Amino acid sequence: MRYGRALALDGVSLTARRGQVTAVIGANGAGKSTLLKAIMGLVPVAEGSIRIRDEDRTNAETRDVVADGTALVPEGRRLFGDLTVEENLKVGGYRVRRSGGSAFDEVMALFPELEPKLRIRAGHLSGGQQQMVAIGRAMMSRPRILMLDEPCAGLAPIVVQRIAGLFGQIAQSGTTVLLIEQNATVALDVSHHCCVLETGKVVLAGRSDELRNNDFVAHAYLGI
Amino acid sequence: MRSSEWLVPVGVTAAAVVIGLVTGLGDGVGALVVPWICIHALLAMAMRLVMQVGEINLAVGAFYGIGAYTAAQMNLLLEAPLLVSVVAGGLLAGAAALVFGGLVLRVSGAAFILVSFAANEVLRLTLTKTEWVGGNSGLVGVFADPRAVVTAMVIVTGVVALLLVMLERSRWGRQFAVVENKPLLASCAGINPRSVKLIALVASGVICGVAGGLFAHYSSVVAPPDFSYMISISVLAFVMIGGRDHLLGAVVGAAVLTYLTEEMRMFGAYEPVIYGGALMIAMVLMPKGLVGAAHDVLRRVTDSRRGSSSDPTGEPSPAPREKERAS
Amino acid sequence: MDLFVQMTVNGLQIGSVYILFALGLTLIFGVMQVVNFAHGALFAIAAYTAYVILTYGADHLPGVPAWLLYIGSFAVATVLLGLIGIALYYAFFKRFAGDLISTLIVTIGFALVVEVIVRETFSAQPKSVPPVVEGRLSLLGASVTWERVVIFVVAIAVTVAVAAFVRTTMTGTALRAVTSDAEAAALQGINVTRIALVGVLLATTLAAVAGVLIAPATVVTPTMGFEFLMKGFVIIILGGLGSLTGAIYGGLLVGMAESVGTQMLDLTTATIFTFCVVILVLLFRPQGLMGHAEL
Repeated sequence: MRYGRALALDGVSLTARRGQVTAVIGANGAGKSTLLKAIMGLVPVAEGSIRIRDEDRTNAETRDVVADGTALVPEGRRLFGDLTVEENLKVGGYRVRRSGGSAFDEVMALFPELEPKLRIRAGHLSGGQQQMVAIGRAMMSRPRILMLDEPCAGLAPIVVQRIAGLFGQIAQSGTTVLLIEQNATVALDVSHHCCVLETGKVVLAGRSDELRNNDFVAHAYLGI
Repeated sequence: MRSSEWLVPVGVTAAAVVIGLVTGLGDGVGALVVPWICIHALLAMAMRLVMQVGEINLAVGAFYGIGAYTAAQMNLLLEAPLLVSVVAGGLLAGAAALVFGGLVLRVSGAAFILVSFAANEVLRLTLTKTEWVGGNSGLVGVFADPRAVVTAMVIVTGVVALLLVMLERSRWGRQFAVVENKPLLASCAGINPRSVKLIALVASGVICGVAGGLFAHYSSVVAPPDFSYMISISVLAFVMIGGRDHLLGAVVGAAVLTYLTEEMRMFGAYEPVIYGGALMIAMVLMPKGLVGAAHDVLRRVTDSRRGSSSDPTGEPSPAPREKERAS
Repeated sequence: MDLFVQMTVNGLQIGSVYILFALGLTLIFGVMQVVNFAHGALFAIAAYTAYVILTYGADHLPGVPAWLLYIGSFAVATVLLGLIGIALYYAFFKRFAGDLISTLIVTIGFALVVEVIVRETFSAQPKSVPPVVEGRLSLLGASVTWERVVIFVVAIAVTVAVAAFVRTTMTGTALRAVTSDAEAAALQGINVTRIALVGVLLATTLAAVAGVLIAPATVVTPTMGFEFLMKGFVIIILGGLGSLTGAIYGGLLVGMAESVGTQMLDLTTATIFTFCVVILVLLFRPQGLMGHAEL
């Protein structure tokens, strides 16, 4: 897969299972964010193809990818800072306006701490709360595949625990969760499967509990 | 830098200066057009200098006006010689650019465009209200030997062009490119984007001021309407239609459009239509401008002949246009 | 006291039209990052539309009341500018999406061409438009023409309507989401192209209303577009680029500053004074009054 002029990704093939959390780990510049943006149709794919659930989705319109049940929580949250928390969530359900009611209740059940903050501007929340809004916003479209780009970056350890704990919960309700993380410890803890991306290539893949004991991973990513 | 690399720009400039002097001092259409081409080329090169640090300065007309009024007053009140008046015009315009940039460069991009556009109009309005520079009617009776003025114009334009080529190939030129394309990287590398932008703006202001000083001596009258937003927009048209990636583009754009306007003058005051229409068409059909398009054609020809991708003009290849995204 | 009331009334009236004009300008910038130099030209076209319809009506249709012609002018100008806006969108804005310089250049080109077409069609002579409502209203010792009262009321009503649309409807919320972060909005499944087009049509409608509204209260000239453009730019810089609330506050502030300035000095000096105030504001808040600091 080519992104712009430089080769960003090279023959990446990922399998993420339904009801499970799959993590992708790798250092800065390994091509993780590019992969997600390409899947969402945000960056053009020059070569190769993207298939989601056996359907060709190469260079699809972003809104069609979303309507089809794939949602991305982008890196750095990217909330609409001027909009209230409630409006942010509503915009997340833009595609499924008609059945939006129950999705909203589900998100509230997932993040009860957002309930009193609904009328506050999203830009005024703390980092952890903003991340919850970002995840909630993505969940509003009732995705079958939820992808998260560095959801734990820059958050306090206790907040990381709270948020990382949710991934398994979301997966259990039948969603495929694809987690991109730089923090390999967290990623391996919460995921069932994991693959390691280096300079645009998958160098290692397998079950997370096995990878944790892998010498290469332990050395390069866990710092043991 | 090897001396052979200078052969092309020095040769081209010398040839252009000779042609300019011969036609400008003769009595054909050149005598009408060459002075204006020089003024417009100077302004276009000044506009492009600020574009190289990633900003569009629509107050070019204001600095041009400050230079023109200063030079005119030097001539009228002090009877200063041509070059002294012109240099004074350049210095005062540079000082004005320093103050303006110091105040306004904390904004960039769209906001800078809007503020500079407004600043140009505000200067024009101020001139109409300032009685000691003649108010609405401006200053009249700037005297200079016309042949000396035209000679000075052609030579100054050549010298400024060479200086800018030198700048582009120096360490400064590379810093400019970094500030334009990767402002964040520039800050990380210890370059302060704001000071680099300020330096470019001041240098550009000096060039505009010099152009204004030359204009004042050429036309012998300076009045507020000469320095409206229209001049800034025309100059932007010169750069974009000529091609912003090469210094040559600014000069070619100024020359072509100035000549065309002169030829069309018999049809009435259609100048804005020429610029406006040319701007829209050029952006769609020729986004890299005349020089960019010619460059592409030349490269394709030489490529097919030699099977290589060497740069035929010896100009530095244009910097990549993609901007750094702040994420 | 009378003077004070008079200045306030004048300021509110000028400011209300500035708000309409600046809202359209800031809307297009917010949704598409386009510095729209064509906005002034669109505004001038609307004013000339009112001029044509009202003078034609006065000369040839003696039975038709002026207010009906005025309402007709709104409709014609809105449709006309809407069509031009759609053409601009597909010809340029969509092609140069996100490219600040290219869109700046083509809208400048468009504005220049319109200015000359208008000048060649109607001559450079300022045109005065026949009055729609006559008489004056006395208010707390200040005197104001009914014409200006109508302008103020309509301008405020349209501003409120736009605010309500943007605040309460789903499309309006999507519009604000795109303004805040277009890529993140696309990730929510919003059709950014469609929302941008909504923004363009909203902006052309605002330009149409502003142009027709102001026509009977002023003289119509080919350069009025550029004159308003400069004020509009000052207002949206003051309010914060892309901020709708900022455009409202900015419009009121500039209107009041001009009213006070004109009363004390003259309009030109007032314009210069207003600009200096804006530069001062930028020293302390480079992002404008209601804008957000970037980076």
